Amino acid sequence: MINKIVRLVGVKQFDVYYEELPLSSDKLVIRPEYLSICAADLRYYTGQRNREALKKKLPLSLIHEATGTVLYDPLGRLEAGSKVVMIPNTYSSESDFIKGNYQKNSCFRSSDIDGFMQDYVLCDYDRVIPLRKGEVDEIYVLSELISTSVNAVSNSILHMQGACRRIGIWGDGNLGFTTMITVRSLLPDAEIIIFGHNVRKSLNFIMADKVYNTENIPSDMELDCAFECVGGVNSVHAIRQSIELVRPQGCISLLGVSEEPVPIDTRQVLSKGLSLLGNSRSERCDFETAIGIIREHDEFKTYLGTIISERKKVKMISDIYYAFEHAQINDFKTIMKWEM
Amino acid sequence: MIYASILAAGAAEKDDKRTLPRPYTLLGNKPILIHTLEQFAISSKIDKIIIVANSDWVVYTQELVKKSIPFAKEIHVIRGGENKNRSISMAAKYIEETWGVTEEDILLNHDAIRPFISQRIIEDNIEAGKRYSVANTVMPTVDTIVISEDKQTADSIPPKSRMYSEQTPQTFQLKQFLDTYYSLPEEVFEKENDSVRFMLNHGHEVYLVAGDYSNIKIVTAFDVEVANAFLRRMEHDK
Repeated sequence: MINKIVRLVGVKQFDVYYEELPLSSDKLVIRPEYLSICAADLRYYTGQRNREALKKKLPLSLIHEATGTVLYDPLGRLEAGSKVVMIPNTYSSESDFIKGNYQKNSCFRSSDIDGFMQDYVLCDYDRVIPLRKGEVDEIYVLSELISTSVNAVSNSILHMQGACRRIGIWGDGNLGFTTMITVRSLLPDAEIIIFGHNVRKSLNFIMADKVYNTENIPSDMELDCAFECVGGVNSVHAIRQSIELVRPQGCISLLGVSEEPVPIDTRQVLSKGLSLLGNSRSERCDFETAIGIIREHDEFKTYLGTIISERKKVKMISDIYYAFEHAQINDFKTIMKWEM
Repeated sequence: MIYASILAAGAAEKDDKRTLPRPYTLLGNKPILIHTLEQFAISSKIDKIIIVANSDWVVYTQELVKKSIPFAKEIHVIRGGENKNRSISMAAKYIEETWGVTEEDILLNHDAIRPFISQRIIEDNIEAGKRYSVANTVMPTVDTIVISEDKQTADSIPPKSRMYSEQTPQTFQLKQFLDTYYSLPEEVFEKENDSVRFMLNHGHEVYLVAGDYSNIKIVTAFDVEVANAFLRRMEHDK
């Protein structure tokens, strides 16, 4: 069937493509419903990715955080009309030692392959997680973002063998927020300290025990582990501060993406015996935990709604430009209801 | 109940007899009609579909649909009329005779040769059909319209800002359509070849639904080339 795909073709330039979508004997046909704009999408849109990356990857359909409606399941596993969260990465080989999201042949939507800005998406059955009947699915569009926090927090807990009582999170944006919720859910007794620089955004972190401006951190502060959710050039400061504040043999989880290499004070890392963990993409098990966090905790589900800064119905290309322009100035998430 | 009729009868008459009628011409790897039908068949908001085919092509269409559409959707193929208006009335009467008609029933009528219809246009027509007895899919005209009675000199050139091109779907509340149709002598209906104009001329408000410039009608060989170019573009760009 004919599929309409909206691709980024250049900086701040979308175009519509038509493509024959071959129906397969086992893949689900899904119509995207809620799409959430991520910082990675904005880096493509605004041309912050380096020129070589843009040349190699564009034209590309953006968005990797999405829910959808099942239109057709050739094997009848899911009813037409079922709501699902879509998992944006795919991989074809299995390894006992490497998680799917880190496999060499892993493909990620809106980076290696087209994202979800399409009329229809073909998905393998294991790349969706069905929502329950009657669940309001808008908030579940945050599942992918939460799943990256789940991946990071789970890895840190595993690495620290549970010895994570005082946790610092650098970053007062979306990822910092979902990491705070995830820590609160997976480590309910842990003390959570947020380090941010935007007073207005920091006010939203009401579920943290303390919020500090990165310029005014008490000198006696000591943490068991840290999560760097900053990215970009500012991650340099966040990583430097976390190396200073994490106790010997603690760990620092790096989640923020930076276009440029980031210098790290290895002398201090070595002298304190710190572990630096790279945590970015998530896998199905992390999605399941993320959905469980939303589903099982009404207070988290409601609280997550506070980071939806703007909702935009998308019927025309001009609506997409509107959403992407506003996403650059909104404090938190911009969600598109896909009605193209 | 939401019905869709796919109008495939009229175009067969217009085409070069040496080729398949336009709805059956290949676009990419499938007949145009199948591309169009898939967009309606996969919509969870459409309950039943009636394909209105040229009488010679009814059996062919039945076989084609059987082989091509995997979705569990009720699809009926019926014989169409000599023009679009007549075909729409035949679809409406078929629905009335087969399932009966209630106040809630809506019929979307779409040209088989407009395969680039989007789910957004389908859904906007359904929503409009719930609120208005008639909805028409249109787009602002790109070209300025010139009106001429004698086909040689211009009578008027209306401001472009008020001019729209008609696309499909054309959507009707079925009961309203049939009541209007039955209330008038047959010859009144015979004079019309546009069902929306027929309803407008008989007192119904017509709501305008925004179409899309990509919702093109594939009539000429040039149109087929353009449509195929849409689909091929991806191979060149990726």
